Amino acid sequence: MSRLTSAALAVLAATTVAVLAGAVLAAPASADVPEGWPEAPGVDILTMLGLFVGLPVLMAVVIVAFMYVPPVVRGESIKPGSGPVTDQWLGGPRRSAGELAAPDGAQSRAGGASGRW
Amino acid sequence: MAAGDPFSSSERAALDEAMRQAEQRCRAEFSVFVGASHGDPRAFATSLHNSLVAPSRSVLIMVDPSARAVEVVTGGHVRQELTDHEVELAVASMQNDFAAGDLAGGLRRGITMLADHAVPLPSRHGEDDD
Repeated sequence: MSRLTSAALAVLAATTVAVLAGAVLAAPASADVPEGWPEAPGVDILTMLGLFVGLPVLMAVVIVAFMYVPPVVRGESIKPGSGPVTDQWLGGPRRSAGELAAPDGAQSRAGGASGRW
Repeated sequence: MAAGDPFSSSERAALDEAMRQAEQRCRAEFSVFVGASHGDPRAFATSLHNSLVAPSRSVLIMVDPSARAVEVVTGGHVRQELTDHEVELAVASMQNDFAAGDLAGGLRRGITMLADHAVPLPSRHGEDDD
């Protein structure tokens, strides 16, 4: 039993050492340009910026424009959440606030309830 | 849905239908106002209610989404069947729906609840209605 355990431990240790050695000794693959191949032209900083910064920004602008321009053209609100609501009557007189009757006084027989959310 | 209109055409149609059914069931007039309340929401709601054709037989639901306020005003005649406590239950239900962003659904369920409670009790011993 103990001999079996010692063998297993030895195999485990050998495997660990092999994996660690591989990880430590690993290096990025590199190779010289083969003879006869043309040298790749260098990339200047402006081209690199345009490719990695300018292009993504341009794409983001185009996507945002596709999202917001149609509702703006239709005259809809693009504010997040609910925009300002115009007064809506369902089943009531279409009067403006200036044409309304007076509010209830102390003798009112009206009832009801109030709520906030 | 036009800018500033909180309801789509289908939501508006469903609300109209809910109000029509409610009025048929409880013989009260239902009106809904959604918009900005000027000043105190309760006072503004009673102004709206008093501007209706028959306030004593009317139920007004006023919702101000900006102020997050809902007010229900019941006329004196409607109040004989629909108690303030029953209105509070409907308001609580609407509050929950409004908080979840469901304005049209909350109004529809609120109108239905109010109508359920406002249905006149059947007359007893052959008494005539009115």
